[in-house]
Amino acid sequence: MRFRAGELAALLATILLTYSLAPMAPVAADTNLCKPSGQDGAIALPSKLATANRPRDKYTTDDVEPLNSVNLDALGLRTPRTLTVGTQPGGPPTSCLNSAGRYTGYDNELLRAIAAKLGLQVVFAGTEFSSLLAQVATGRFDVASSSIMATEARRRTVGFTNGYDFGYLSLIVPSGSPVDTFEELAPGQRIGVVQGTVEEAYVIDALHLQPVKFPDFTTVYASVKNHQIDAWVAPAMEAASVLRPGDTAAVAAYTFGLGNYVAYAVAKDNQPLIDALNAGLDAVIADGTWAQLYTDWVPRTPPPGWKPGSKSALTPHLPDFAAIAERHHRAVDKIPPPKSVLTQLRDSFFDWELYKQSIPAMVTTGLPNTLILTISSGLIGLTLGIALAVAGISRARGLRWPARIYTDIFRGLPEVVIILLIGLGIGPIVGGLTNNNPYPLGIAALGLTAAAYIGEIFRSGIQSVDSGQLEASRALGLSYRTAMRLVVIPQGIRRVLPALVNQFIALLKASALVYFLGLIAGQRELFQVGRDLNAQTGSLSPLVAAGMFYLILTIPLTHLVNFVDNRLRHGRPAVEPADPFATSQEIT
Amino acid sequence: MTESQSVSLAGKGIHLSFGRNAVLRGVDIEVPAGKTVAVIGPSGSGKSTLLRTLNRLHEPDRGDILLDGRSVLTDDPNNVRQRIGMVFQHFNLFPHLSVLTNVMLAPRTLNRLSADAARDLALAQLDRVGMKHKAGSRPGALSGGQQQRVAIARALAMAPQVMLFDEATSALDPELVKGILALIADLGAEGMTMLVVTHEMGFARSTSDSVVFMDHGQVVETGPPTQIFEAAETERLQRFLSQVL
Repeated sequence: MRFRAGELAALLATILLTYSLAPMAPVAADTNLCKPSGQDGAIALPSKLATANRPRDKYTTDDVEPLNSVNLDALGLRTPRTLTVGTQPGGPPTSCLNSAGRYTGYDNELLRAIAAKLGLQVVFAGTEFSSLLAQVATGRFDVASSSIMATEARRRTVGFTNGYDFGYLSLIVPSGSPVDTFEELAPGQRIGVVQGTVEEAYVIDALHLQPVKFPDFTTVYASVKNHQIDAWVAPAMEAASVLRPGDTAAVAAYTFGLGNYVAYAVAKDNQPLIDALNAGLDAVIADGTWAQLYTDWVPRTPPPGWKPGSKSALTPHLPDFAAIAERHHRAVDKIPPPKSVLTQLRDSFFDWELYKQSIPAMVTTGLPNTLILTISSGLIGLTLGIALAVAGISRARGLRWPARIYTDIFRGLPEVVIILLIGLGIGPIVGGLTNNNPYPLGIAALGLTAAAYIGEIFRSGIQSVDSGQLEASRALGLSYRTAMRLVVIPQGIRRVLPALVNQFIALLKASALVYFLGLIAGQRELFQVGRDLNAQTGSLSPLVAAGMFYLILTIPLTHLVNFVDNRLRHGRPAVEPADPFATSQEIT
Repeated sequence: MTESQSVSLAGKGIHLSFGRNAVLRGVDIEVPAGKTVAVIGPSGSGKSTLLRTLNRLHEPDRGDILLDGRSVLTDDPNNVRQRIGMVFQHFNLFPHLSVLTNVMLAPRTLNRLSADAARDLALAQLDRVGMKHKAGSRPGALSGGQQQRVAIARALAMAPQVMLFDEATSALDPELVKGILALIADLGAEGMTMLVVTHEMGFARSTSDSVVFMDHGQVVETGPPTQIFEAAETERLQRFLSQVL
């Protein structure tokens, strides 16, 4: 199955969106993480790790078929006898691209060993995590290898092998917070998560709480540090990489999240391939390869009761990592847990079940919020924009310059930057006023940006009115103010109506950007509603549904622009010398 | 022109510079009540600037402006302009308003007339210029000649004591010029005091009571049309006339 152009474009758009903040991602301290650390890098299990609420494992197979009974021609591979593997290369030490250009890391090296046992070739391709599961589901890849936690939600999209690794979550709280365990989290607290991750699913499904969703680790961590949120449920490894000594936040507790293990994802209907990989996994466990790779790449104490492979796989013999770590005085919380899990996409744009799920939420939550955001920020932009235009054409330097500087700044910065700066920068200062609610700040940021554009639209409109209009009004004896009010400004505004409607459309679309500030369920606008369901299911259908709502709003406006434009253009021709047809009447 | 005639509008020694460019260099001009004074001269001689200075759209650097013999330089310029009507080369009608509203706007706003009174006044002025039938149209739907007629009605509606015409026919197609000139001549015959900047030498000769020839920001010659056109004294006027006639 191949991707159509439209699907690729949509995927690309989603990827770009998801990773637009990638440069803000924390920079790892060690620049060359894509190499095995060996057992000297060993880490013990954190003492604060809660194991009580681990979900019951109902998926690990009791047994595997014998290796020699695997029919290599019945595995449904894209290329016969070759495993085409998708991996996210940005996640050392589990999956990464080394300096020699080899897709390596624990997950990938283990998969190579399994493939070798089965007698299969392996071809790797790097991709973004958000599209990885979708590409496995659609057959772009045979296998996804990227420290993927096998959760219930993901099992709706893809199938999983038996586990070969594990992962757990950490609870990060601001300094001085009384919260010390996951059990103390309660409704009313603002609990941050990165959207589309297993942490988000954990807070909703296991803790039964509504989290505040953030697009990336940096934003959510900044919010913890400045007390904008009460806690952050984070994957332990990412948390360890962004936490710095002396920060105003700390790890309060560890827990196991949803899912029991990390596994390879395979197309859901391809049971023969799952069975074959399970057989290969048990084989590399049996011959000690698993233990060797585990020790080389991710040497850390496995949680009690956990072992890789099927239930009948041999229990691997591992060195005493806790003792080694003790010798090296390693921090217990430096354990590399599973990588951040972002949006999952399925190739299907038309999952009617998901349409039925998403449309009611869009009508009751998304649409009103989008309209509230757009209209309130539009009113702010209109009011402030008129003021800016009047100041901008004023003869007083003290008015003209501030207006000019304001316009230059707010028009010159990306809207996302303004939203983040106002939401995260001003947020803590006015926290008491807004009750730490980012919604008004989002409206303010959108409105302030729109004002810069609307001000320029008005200014150019007013200035485009022929100077003869002002001269003629003044010659009649009208004062400057009256002439502007009755003659010049009405013409200027008429002239810019199409541009204003366009600006309103731009604002409508920009309202989706408030999701960068982290919104609770009831505040989500159209895009966020679609994106949430998209992130939960990996299907693009909810985003398509959101897109249709935007079109329902914007297309009539676009046509309104054309209508107004047309009327202004042809309904009222400009002042011109007489046309030949009018002359006979004139001469009489 | 005799001393016994009262002078309606006068400029005395008017100087005006735009930056380093001296546009008016000591202009003296008088418009006697009930008379038509034509201003002729080459492009850039300062004719249009003179009109805009007399109604204080430009403020003179030096000199004085008198209305009925009294200096109005210290008056509210808006009040001065209400007493001086002006008609522009490019009509400058308000395109977003109907013909009727164009004419009503100033009386309604400045003289605080009721809507009905202002409408009656506007319709009367439109009738005077032969444009009553187009009262409901937008300026954009009219020919240039029709627009200029409305512009004249708009100025007349404020009942000014002097009318200034700034090349009122220059933007019109040739076949429309005659009608507008006839209208202006009619106004003069009715006793309107007018200062007319024009390139139409035939009009200046046949209709005006006095002709002012300007060049390089100065009045070079003034006199009755017959003197100006048939017995030009200065070489500059002779050269100008030889070029335009």
